[in-house]
Amino acid sequence: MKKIILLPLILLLLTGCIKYQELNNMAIITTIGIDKKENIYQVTLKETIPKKEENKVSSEYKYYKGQGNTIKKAIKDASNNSSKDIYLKQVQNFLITNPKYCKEIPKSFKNKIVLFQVKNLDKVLTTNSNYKYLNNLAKDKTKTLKDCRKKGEKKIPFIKVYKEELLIKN
Amino acid sequence: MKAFLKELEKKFSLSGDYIFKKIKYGRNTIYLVFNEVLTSSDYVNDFILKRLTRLDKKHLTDLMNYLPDANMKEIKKEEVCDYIHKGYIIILAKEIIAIEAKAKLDRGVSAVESELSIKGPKDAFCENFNTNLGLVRRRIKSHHLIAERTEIGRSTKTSIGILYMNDIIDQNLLKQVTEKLTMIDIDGIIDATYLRENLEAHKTFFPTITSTERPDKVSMALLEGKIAIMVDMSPYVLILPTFLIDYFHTVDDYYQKPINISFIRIIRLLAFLMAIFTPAFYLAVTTHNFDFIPLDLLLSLKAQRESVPFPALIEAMIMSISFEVLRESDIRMSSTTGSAVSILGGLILGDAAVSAGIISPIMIIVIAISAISGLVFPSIELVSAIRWWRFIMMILATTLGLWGILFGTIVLFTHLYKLNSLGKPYLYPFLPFNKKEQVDALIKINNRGTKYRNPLLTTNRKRGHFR
Repeated sequence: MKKIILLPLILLLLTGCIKYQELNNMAIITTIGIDKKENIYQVTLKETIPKKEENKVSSEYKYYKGQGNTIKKAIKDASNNSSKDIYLKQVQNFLITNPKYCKEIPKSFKNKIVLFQVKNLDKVLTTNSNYKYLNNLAKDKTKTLKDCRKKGEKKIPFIKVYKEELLIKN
Repeated sequence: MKAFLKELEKKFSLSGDYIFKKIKYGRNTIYLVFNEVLTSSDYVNDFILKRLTRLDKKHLTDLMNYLPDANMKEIKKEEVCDYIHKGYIIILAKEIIAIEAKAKLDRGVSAVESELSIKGPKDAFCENFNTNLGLVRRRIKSHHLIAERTEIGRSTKTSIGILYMNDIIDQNLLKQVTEKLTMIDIDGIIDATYLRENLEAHKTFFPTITSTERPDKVSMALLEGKIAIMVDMSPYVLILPTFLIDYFHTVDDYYQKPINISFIRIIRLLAFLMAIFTPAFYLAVTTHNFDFIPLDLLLSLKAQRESVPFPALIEAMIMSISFEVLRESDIRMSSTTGSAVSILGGLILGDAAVSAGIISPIMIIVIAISAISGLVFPSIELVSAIRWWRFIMMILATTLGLWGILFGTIVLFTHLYKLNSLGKPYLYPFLPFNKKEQVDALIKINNRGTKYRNPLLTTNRKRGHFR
């Protein structure tokens, strides 16, 4: 019995609260926009802040900007601008201005995200379009998405958007 | 005899409920000593005093034959005190005679209160040892049903009955129980649960002895080869050994269609797991393992937590503890004020706490699910065990996330595996696994599955068949 009490105590005291985060203190990033200016990556993290209203949840958005030589560094830089802990594991889509940047996207993102190529990045990002809307757009191109995954390609499903107006939700 | 009477008078002089009565027959006198509250005055007046006063002088020397009574004994001087306290009338003549004249000081057989069943008998044990024994004897009409009687408690001298079926019982088990009971040397046994301390070998939150108020449950247990311990003045009878699976069974399982019972038993198991793990899982998911849940759900959880000022663990603790307080007050309150408690609790915990922004609605759902799941089990001991493990899991989940829950689960199951009740493994028939016993463990295919007794309990395994 002593051991049973002691073991969790040791575990708790020695480990503390690893990775402990309160949901309130967390910035859930859903979309990342990537641009490159003068060989430096300009990254914008789009945080979705859910707001509870009567019977439904609506969203507000917040943006964090950062720059760096690589996308990774740029994201880190952007994270430093936030007072909250940046949570990147649920990023749903990337908006990039040039398909070349694809290769630079950290591997940890490459599982389920969808990539959009856009020209006017800031405009698309700052509209109220949420990740769901963007993903729904991608669903029209499910064939390409599915094919990519079936073949086991590590390539990120990539969707070229010709009409940017489409991405902007009314 | 007069010296002895003086001695008795001195002993009882301080309390007013002992009665000394003198009846003269010419030169001879007999004395009656009894306790007013323990004896029935009707019985004393009608049957004993009347007969004594009409008694002929010459029969005085032969009272045993002229005062016939089923429960009439000649006793020794040392036994007089005991018999008076048992509700006997003591006649001090040439010899000392004790006649039973017990007053009815109990409430009689009433309906089951805590272990309700839909079908099945509704009678429950009461505080009277003889009534309780009768309720079992009426169900098992066999001379194999043995009720060994002992007395424990220096002051209370409580009758303890060890009940078992002579042709089924494993003598080794019986020896263990009697040995453990003889070790008890205490001034008082007020309730059957006092014996728990001695009969339970482990320091654990989980109960390794069942206590029940249902005579049919006791009869079932006896026929399976278990031992029941009956304590005078206690409406609960202890059954041992007990396995964990026994808490997932109710007597109703044997009064209804077996196929429906399997479903209910699986629900009970789910409830057991949910009662322990739901808050912990919620805490793990909202403080550590965010990638474990879909984004939509995560956002909706975040929206609910946004206005809450406390960390998730504190929030969960506030809710759990206020629930426990509510439950405790509901138990202790009389039923007239009980409704006030439930209104207050329901309103404050359910609605006001949310609209005040102290507690998130989802936390109320989580705590309510786990609390309700815990209440599936009528055994308060198991519910307490579940409560402890719920708190342990909650703390582990906030510190280590899902890994903490995994760790806690491993500890919980090794702990359960280590437990035994009178040397019988607690997790039987799952660990050690017995394939044949599965027919009436978690799932129940048909009533014929109960043809055989548990091989751990007895060597006399065959019970017979229905068809």
